[in-house]
Amino acid sequence: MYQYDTHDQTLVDQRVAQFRDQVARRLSGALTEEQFKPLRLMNGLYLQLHAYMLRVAIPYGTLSAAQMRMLAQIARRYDRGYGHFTTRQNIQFNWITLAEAPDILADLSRVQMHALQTSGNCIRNVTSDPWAGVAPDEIEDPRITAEILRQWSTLHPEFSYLPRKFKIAITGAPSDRAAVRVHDIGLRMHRDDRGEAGYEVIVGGGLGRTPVIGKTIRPFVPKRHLLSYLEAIMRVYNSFGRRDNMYKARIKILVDAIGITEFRDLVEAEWTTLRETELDVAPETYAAIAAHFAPPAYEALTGTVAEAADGASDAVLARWIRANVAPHRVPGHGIVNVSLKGTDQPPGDATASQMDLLADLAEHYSHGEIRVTHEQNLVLPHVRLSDLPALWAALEAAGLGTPNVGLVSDIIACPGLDYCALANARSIPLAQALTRRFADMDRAQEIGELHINISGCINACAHHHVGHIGILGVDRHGEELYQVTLGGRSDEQAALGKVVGPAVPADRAVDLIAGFVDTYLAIRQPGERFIDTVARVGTTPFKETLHAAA
Amino acid sequence: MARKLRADAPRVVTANRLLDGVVVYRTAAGTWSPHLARALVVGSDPAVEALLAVCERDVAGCEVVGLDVIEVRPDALAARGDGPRAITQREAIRATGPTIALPVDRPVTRPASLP
Ligand code: SF4
Repeated sequence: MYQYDTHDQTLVDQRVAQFRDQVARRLSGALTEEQFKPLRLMNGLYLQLHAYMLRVAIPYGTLSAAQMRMLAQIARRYDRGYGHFTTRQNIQFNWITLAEAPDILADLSRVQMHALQTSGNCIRNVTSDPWAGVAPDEIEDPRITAEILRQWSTLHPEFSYLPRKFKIAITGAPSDRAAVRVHDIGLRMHRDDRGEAGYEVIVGGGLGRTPVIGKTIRPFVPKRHLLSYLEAIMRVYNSFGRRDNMYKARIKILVDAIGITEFRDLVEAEWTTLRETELDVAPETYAAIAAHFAPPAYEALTGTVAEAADGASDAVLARWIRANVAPHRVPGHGIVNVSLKGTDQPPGDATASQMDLLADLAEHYSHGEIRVTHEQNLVLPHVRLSDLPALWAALEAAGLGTPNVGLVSDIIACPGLDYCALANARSIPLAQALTRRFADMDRAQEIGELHINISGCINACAHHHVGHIGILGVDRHGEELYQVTLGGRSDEQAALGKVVGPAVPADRAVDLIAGFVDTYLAIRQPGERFIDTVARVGTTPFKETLHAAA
Repeated sequence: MARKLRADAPRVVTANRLLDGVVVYRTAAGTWSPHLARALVVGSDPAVEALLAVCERDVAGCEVVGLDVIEVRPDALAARGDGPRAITQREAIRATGPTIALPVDRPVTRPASLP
């Protein structure tokens, strides 16, 4: 894992001191709320419905055991004993006081963490493949580039006041587990004819009010030139992005307004002044960062995940292995996905004791490393297959053994109206109702891969547009209703879901989705996942369910 | 600040406490209470404006932030005699907290196999 150098640590420590002073001045009245609000947002502190919420950055979703323990301690000492892992691989604490926020940031800095750039119109925390470094299909570990991007974008003076927030996602594998096509910039690693690794650069993707699938602006940029190319994109956006209307300010609107060809021409013109400058990442710099992400010392073992499932002594263990453990690039090892979607558990929430346990388990079974997924689950990336039974038993005893990763009850949901000041409708109760409806894990496995995403408003924090089944909470004259879409996906074939029918109350939404699943089971062809069936037949057969439920 | 609300609607002034963000309501005693039932209800635009002007002093004094005026349910006032109640789901949740059971940090069993 990346370790801060003196520069990183000094920067973060100075920021804590600055914020402590800003909070003191706010509390004394020297700063008005108008003056203070942008300062607190720059440090990840929001005022939500019931309290302050602190969003802590987890760069590219990678955490050490020590960092996880600190998150547990913060949850216990300053919050109500739990935290919420988000779709941007961050963690949010929901019950923070303003007076204690500087102390939390100071605690975070002791484990090389912070809340910088988790809000505001800047380049946000770079997200990545949660299986980075261990996925069998990966070309190279994308976290090396993600770390370079983190260093480049942190407090970048030119890009601290962009027209709007800016999100970058990166994957090093052909299977896209980072949703790169729905980010302001998405980076997808390829090799060129000579075998050199570089990035396809995708621009102008995003969800929210105007969902757009990003377009490839350059099919291949060598790693060495990536920063200068991205700097060129940022400069064009910073110059031409709209600042007069926040709903038109994202880069996707600019790309759409002038067209990808003209946008590309502007970027290329800017790039000619930037490439072959100090923005080029020298091979030795890249190698120095790569050294932080060197694989751990794996034992020479044999065996596959499938064999581990077949050989499991217990049917429940076998089911958990099939659902939650993915193949690893090193024989005899597996990638363990820990579901934070148990029945009645708000999606993505973990208690302090669960976090502490996960830190212990990571140290004992996973070379001290944990990942956060954009599906709001956690990953232990380096587990010996022979350790799976003991690990599963420990997870199961702590309420973390739900065998549903990637299945119908692995629901992605934003905090919604239970916490969020911007929400139209609640997300968590609907997610819980659906989880209860699909609680039968044997049936869930029979249904197979199916992603349900629920957002409490059009800001789409739960990425509902790209859920296989997407649900958007709307407010019609004070009534919470839910608009359902079908056929979205965030993988390498990213697509936006299509609206099926009018918005319905929560209980109807549960029936409707159960009906969609029944329809799928009735008409699917062998080997077809839910999303494949929707792609083959369209939404019409599912709309019939809608009419039946009316 | 005040949204466009019906001129004759019963209303209360709400805010968040600066120190911890807790939702509070202006009371008849000129204090801030976390209980909506204790809020002072005003029923005319001039009364609302006058109340807001007074509350602004507590914004300036760093006691509260995010001053707002919300409509409340009149039938609850009359029929139950137990103070105003929220009309919208949002205000109901602000008044009483999340509608879900919050996670409880119960101790978890740490396997004996861990060092
Ligand atoms: S989608 Fe809307 S309701 Fe949900 S967390 Fe984002 S802003 Fe809040």
